[in-house]
Amino acid sequence: MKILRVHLTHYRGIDDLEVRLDPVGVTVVQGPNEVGKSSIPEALGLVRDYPDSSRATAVRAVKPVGLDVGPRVEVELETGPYRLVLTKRFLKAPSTELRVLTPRPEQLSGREAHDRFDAILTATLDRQLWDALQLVQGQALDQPALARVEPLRTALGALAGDDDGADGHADLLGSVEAELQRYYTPRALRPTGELEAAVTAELAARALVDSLAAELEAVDVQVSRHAGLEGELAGVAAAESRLEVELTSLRGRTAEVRRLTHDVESAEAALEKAHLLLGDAERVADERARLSAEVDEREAALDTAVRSSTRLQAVVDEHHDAVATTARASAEADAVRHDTELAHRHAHGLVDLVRCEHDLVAARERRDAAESAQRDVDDARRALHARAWADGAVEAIEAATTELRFAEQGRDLAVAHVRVEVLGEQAVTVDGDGVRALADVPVTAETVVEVPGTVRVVVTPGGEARDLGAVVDERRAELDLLLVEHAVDDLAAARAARDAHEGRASALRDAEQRLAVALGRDRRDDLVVACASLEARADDLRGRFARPDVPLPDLAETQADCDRLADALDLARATARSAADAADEAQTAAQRRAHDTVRLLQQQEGARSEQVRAQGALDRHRGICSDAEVAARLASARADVDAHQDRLAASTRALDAHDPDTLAMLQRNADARAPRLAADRREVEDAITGLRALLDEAADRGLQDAHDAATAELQHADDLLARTRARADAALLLHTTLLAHRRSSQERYVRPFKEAIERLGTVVFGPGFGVEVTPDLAIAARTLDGRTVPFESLSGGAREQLSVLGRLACAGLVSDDGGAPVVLDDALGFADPTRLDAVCAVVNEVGRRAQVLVLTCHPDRFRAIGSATVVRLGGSPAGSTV
Amino acid sequence: MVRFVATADWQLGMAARYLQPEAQARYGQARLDAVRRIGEVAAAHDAAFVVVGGDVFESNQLDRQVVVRAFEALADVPVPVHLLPGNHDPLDAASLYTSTLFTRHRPDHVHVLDTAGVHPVHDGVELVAAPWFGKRPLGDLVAQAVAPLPPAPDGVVRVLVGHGQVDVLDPDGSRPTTVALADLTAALDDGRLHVAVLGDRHSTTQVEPRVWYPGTPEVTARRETDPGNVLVVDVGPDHLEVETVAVGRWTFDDPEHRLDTADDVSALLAELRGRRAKERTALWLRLSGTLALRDKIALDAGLDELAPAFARLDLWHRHLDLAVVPDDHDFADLALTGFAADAVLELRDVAASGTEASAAAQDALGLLHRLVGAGR
Ligand SMILES: [Mn+2]
Repeated sequence: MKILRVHLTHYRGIDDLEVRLDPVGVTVVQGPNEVGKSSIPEALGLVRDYPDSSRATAVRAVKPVGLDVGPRVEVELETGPYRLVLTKRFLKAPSTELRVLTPRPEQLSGREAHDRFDAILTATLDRQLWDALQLVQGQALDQPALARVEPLRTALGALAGDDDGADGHADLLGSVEAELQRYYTPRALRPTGELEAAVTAELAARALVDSLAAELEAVDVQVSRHAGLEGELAGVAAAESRLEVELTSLRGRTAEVRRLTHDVESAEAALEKAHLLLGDAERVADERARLSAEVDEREAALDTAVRSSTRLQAVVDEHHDAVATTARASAEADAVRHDTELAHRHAHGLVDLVRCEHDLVAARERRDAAESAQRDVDDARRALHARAWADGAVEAIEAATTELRFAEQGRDLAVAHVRVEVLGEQAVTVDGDGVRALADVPVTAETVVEVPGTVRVVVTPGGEARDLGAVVDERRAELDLLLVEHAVDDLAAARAARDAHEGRASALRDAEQRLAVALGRDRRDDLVVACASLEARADDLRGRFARPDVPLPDLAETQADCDRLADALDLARATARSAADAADEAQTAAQRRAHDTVRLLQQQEGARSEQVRAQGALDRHRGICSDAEVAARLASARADVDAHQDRLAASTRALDAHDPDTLAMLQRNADARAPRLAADRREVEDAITGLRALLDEAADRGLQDAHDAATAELQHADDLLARTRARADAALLLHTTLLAHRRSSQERYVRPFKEAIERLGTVVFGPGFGVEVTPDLAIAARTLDGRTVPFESLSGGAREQLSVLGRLACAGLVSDDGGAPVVLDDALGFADPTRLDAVCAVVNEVGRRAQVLVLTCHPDRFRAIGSATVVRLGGSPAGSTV
Repeated sequence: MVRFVATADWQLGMAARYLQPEAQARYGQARLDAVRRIGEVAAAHDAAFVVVGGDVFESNQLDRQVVVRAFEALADVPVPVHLLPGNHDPLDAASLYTSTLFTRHRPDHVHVLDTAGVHPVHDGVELVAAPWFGKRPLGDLVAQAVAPLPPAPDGVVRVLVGHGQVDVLDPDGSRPTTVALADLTAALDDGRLHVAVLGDRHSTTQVEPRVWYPGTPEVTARRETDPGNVLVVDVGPDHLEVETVAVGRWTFDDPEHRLDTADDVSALLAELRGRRAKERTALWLRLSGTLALRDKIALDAGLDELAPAFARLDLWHRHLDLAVVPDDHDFADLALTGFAADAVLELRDVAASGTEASAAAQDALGLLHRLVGAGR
């Protein structure tokens, strides 16, 4: 179908609008909003769907605003072999006119015209296709429903080489599905319906069979147990009869044992009596033997005692001799000891005396030396004290002398000298003193030189001379004072006096040294007392040990004598001591033997009296019964005992042969076994009764019949299940196989459509573009550069572009067979300029074979469609014709 | 000389689970009817007594009513009947023979051989019984019964009655209860016995001229080769004659058929249709061959139609070697195109592949056939 012309009058806000369209190619209708672009496709739908008399909402919606006239639509179409013009006025003075121009001119009006138009469209235009190819405002993002578009399906079917299309056999599939759902749930394919019932029935039947089989098995077990218990009961009965036999035998043996026991007891009594008699006889015989033995024993003892006394007496005598001998030897040794002691004491006194004398001489020498030294000390001390000398006196005098010399030498050098030389014999005096030859006198004072009688020369000194002279005098006076003070005449004397003083001090020190040596540590009085003491001791010793006529020997000799005597004394003392010991010992031994002798004699007397007593007793015993009688009674009693012992042994052997202990044990055991066996019997019988009851109960139930019935039921359930399962499997297999084949058929069928979209899409999206198309011919996903994105997840722009591409691809596929115009109303608002240009190229391409109507209020948007015819609305006054 | 009827393995109360429910009750009754017919045989042959070699009852745990019904049937037997407890009905604590019902209602002419050894039952006739006292005896009961036997007194006929498999016929000779034939023939040879009647083998079998299994009087399993008989025995110290008399009414069978064409199918169905006494017949068909799907569908439909007439009619699946190959004709009239046609091709390949999946694929094709056919 192609729209050639649309003429709207009093339609909505449009007073008059006529648009002509190219039958093939793109027509862009552009104009501002509200100008009525969308009215073009709308009006086409109205005239098709509604008779002129319709008051439908859609019809009333197009009523002109503020005018009391009916909206009028005139369309000129080319569809199939027809070319026609349809005019319809709605609402007010409604009318319909149809003019068919080709192939055969027709002129119709009213209802006839409407019906004819409808028939022509139905025959030549697929309604679904018409709807699918219109992209109206507000549906930009939706895909068209292409699955029911028959021309497209036909075209695709032809391309797929499939003459009945992929959607055939819907009835068959439906019935297969219905069959399948008799057995399985739709999606999860779980058993349901007949199959589920068969499975359940089979399980129930099997469970019943199993449980009955188990019960039968249990009965079998009970039967076996019953048989076992019967065996046990027989065992108990056998044991009981064996026990009866055993008890009888035991009773006989017990009686025999009792008789034998009595025999043994009487033999034991007889033996006991014989033993008593034998005991009496043995006691008498024993007493007789004892008495006789005692007499013998006493006699022997007496004899022994006598022999012992005799032997001891000889020994006593020997001891007496020894006592005398040792006493003599002791006395002699003691005499020697005494003599030696005296000699030693004398020698010792002599040694003391000689030593004392020596000490006395030494003491005296020390005492004398000390006294002499003391005297020297006293003398020296006196001498020292008698002539005192001050320390430093010599030095003072030497200094004063030196001062004087210096004074004199000074004066002499300074004053006039009077030199007087005596020339002849005439006496010449100077100041009265004669001059023998020469005198040199310094004139310090008035000097008178006189040759007596001849001449007197008086020389008077000048003043200086006098002064110097005074100094000399002064020095002299000082010296003289010192000399007087120390009682010496001059310096030499002073020096001599000092030396003498020092000699005395030295003598005192020497004397004191000697005294110290003589005294040592002692005082002088001690030395005196020691001397006196030694003298007294020497006098005493001398008086006791020295004879006035014999000089004292020397010490060494005396000492040697003394030492020798000391040794002799030690020896003599030892000898005397051992001799005394020997004597004591001999004495003691002798005394002991003497005591022994006394004791032996006493024993001897005792033994004798015992012997006499024993003999008396024996004699008395024999008087009662002779030795022969005693022996005879004893022999007879012994023979009796032996005989009774033999009898007892025989009885005991007989009893032992019957083993009474074992017999008693057996008897006890046999007694105990009876109740035990009775208990066993009761127990087994009870168990049998119990089992019997169980078995009777089972018997009443007819388990085997029930089991057989259940088994039959199971057999049938099994058969039913197998048959049902086979049917279910068949349905499932058929369903699966059909679906698999339909799917591959559908895939074959959508391929041309997919390829058409991809061909166009590559222009828009570039190489690497692909789409996934469902059997419903919807785009499920887009692949771009290897990334596949579901349609719903794509951006609005991409979805719109794909929707447009789908419509264009569809239009391209169906265009040869009539087809329908593609209407893009206000589309591609989401596209960016680059994409938009590409889409325009595609629209242009599709427009080469199909009619494309683009409605837009954006003149720029579709400017890139190369060969579009543009119809502008709204720019010119309403009602203009293009 | 004495004549008696020898039988065994009555298996009264036995259930046949593999039969149709309706047939099961009839089958149970048939086993009792067989007892009555044995009575008729005894009368017809002027037999002195009937001896049953064990397994009179299927189990000791049967509903006790079975005793009542058995006595009803036995009441019609005009001669004494001697019953031997066998492995199915041993004389144990649960035994039917010692139940109050049995002892109280036992007809006078019915006797239980309840001890091992000699039972004088008739002038000049002794039965030597080897009854079972439990389900698992530890030895050869027959040998134990025979061993202490003194030679038969002059003029006395000895008949051994036992139960168990004879070693020469038993491939699995390891069971302790297996009957040693040598001991038995030795006793027969030296005159301690004159004939031996054994139970446990349900097919009538002559082990040797003097040793017989009468078998079950009414079939119990499809594997039995010659069931449904009793023996009429004429025996004297120097004489033995055994006659087999059929008394069974039921047939259990597993016939083999090869099916390759539609004609084969028709022939089989015709043969089945022509069978008599279907209600007493149980068949397990052992089929082999290769059938077109259409023919298989025809076979199944035919069998389904016939089955209710039989006590059982079924394929013996374990012995089924029937390939179903759908050919083009099978689907030509269904006019399937497109993917449906492709699906048919695939299923057909699988169906003809002879693999485990074949059966399901065949069924799937059958289903498709049915669904499309129904819609047409
Ligand atoms: Mn049996």
